[in-house]
Amino acid sequence: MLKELKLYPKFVSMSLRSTLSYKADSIIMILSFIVSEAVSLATIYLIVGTVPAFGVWSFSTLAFLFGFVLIPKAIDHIFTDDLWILAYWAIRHGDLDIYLTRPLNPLYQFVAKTFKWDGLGEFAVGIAVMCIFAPQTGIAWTFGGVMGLIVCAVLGVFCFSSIKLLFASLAFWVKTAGIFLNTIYSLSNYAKYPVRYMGKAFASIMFFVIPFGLFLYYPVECLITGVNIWWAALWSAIAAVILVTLSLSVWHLGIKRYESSGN
Amino acid sequence: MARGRLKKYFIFTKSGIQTVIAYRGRVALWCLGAVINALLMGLLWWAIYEFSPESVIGGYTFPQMLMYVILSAIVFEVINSDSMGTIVDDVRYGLIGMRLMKPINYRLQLGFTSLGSFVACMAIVGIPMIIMGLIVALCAFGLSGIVWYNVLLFLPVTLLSALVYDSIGFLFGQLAFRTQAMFGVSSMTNVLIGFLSGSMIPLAIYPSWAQSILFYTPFPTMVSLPVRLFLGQVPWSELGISVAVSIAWIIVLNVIAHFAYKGSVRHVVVFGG
Repeated sequence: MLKELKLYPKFVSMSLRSTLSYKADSIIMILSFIVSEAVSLATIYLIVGTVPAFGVWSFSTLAFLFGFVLIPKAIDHIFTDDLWILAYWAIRHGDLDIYLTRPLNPLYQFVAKTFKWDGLGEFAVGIAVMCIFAPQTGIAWTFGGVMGLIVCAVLGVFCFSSIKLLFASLAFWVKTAGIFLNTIYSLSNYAKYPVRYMGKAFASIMFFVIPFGLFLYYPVECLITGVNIWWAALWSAIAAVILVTLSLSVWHLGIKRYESSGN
Repeated sequence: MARGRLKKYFIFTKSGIQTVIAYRGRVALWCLGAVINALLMGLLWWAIYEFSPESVIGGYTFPQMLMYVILSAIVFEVINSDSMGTIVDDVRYGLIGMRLMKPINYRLQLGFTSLGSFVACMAIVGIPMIIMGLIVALCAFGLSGIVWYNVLLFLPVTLLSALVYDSIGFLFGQLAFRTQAMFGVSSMTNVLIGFLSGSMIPLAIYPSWAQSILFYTPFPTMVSLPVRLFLGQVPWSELGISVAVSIAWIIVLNVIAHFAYKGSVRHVVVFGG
């Protein structure tokens, strides 16, 4: 574990050097994420604008929720973006061979080799949107509330990455699991909306099956409705423990049955 | 003469059709993913209609809105051309060298391949899914206003949408000659086209100034026009103008792409042998 931690800055510096060799490309990637998120926020604005009131939610509170959702999503994007490669190509191309021959945890090597600097753009957008809309949400801000929200965001990163790892690991069985990961990942976009109003069946899925609603939407709902946010933190922690255990177990099962492709 | 020259390109259309047939399972899964996404959007709209004092939003009742989101998701998937992806792969793997050596127009080759993909996607996945969506909207939600001639016209209008999409894909795909960040370019293009063409939400709820500007851009003709036509919401006069706008954009985009391509090929770098 200590060795992995010591090596991480080296991986980050390697990523930074490779990113800096393609400056224009990095700018395009950051721009692409900013445009996608701006479109997403504009969509929320247009949809909410069609009704005088959307339950307890207004555009300001939804924009704040939008900003909060971006934080765990961005951090996950920065650290574990290569799980997409696992889902789409790595198994089919036999890319894991190299990681299995080195004296380091293969999962660690696989995700540590890429530090996605463009995720910082998403992170900055999330923070900026939260700061802009926080005063207009009517939330009674306390120190405990802010701390609770930060804890929820950190736990949200673990949940997000675990869901990604879980569905990307399906590739060990089906060779390319990109379509599954993509469909599940796009569910996270709906955590930006009042999940609770979208029918009991969907809300139950979003809270208890693929719990994007639990660790992304629920913390902000607690703040808006005045419920103690530490309840959300507790639920997020339970979700994080279950998801991390489950995803690591599936990864371990998968890597045991991994066969190199090739010639 | 021109017909004879074009004849050879129909081989690419055939290959486009065959590729989709070979990967029909994957195409169907992508389309299914898009429809699931659309159904979730439908749930969101259901919640919005529950809170709305009006039963009509932006000119749509809830069953119409549901059909709109399902249909727009299918149209967006079916018209999605792979021209940009092909250019990216050709440049990345150096195949572009071989392409340039052949006595075949690269633009026409990609265009005719996309035409084949469109026809096959529409026939294998699009039409069956549209029929299923329509049955659900008609029987379960009481959708009304669907007329047979609009449904028939929907197909050629969607073909125009596919051609517009392909032209934009070819134009922006040429950035592959200059940047490695084509994932960013392609996702940005997709998101913007989705938003401006009304594939996520109907353009009717956009501010009126935005609607007036968008009317003269190629975007609404890509998704909004065929979907609204299907739902019986496009008057004949508007249909005529929109089709003319669409054809004009196909010509303009291809002329720009033609000149851009002449510049782009000078940037080709192929390694290896």
